[in-house]
Amino acid sequence: MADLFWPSMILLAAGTFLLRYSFIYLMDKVEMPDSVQRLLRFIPMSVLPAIIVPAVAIKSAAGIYTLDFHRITAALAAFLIALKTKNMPLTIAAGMFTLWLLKIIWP
Amino acid sequence: MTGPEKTAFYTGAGALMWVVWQTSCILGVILGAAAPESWSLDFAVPLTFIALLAPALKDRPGVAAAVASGFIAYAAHPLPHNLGLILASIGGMSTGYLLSGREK
Repeated sequence: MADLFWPSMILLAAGTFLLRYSFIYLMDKVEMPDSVQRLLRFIPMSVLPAIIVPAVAIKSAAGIYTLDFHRITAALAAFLIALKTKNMPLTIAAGMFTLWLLKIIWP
Repeated sequence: MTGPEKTAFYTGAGALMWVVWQTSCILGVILGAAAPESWSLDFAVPLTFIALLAPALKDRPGVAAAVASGFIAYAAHPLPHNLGLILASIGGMSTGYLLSGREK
């Protein structure tokens, strides 16, 4: 398996490059219909929660899934702060401190 | 800005970003392995995404898309190969698309 390492690296690099470059290349040449543009507009609002919710809400220990209340509260606090101030470092710091605070107060 | 100047600008900006990216990844690997797990530093990842998500929620179809995506992601999270994420993304985008069509 080790002797396949560099060929697979080169293949992966080529594949990634083609995947990403294809859109840049086609951007000026293809006119996207209105419905497709409307669909693509919702990508960040769909993908970001799909990443956030499992990472925040679910704590898995030995195959058993439970709700993680510390993280949910800290994430809600961070979300509110992010809505009020559009400040990214402040949001991250506040969420992190809330989580630490909750872990100290209620273990 | 002319064509070749644009290319030079983009190349320079991209090269600098690449260097910063790779350096941060290396530092992250080294320091991240050294940090104890009780510090919960991995929570910074969803926090960053929350900070990115909040400014993007401007109108009602977007909020609906986010809520739908969150529900589907939670329900489908036991699926292997991160299929829950894919289903949630598709569900969220469909919800937003349908609701934005109705508003027009």
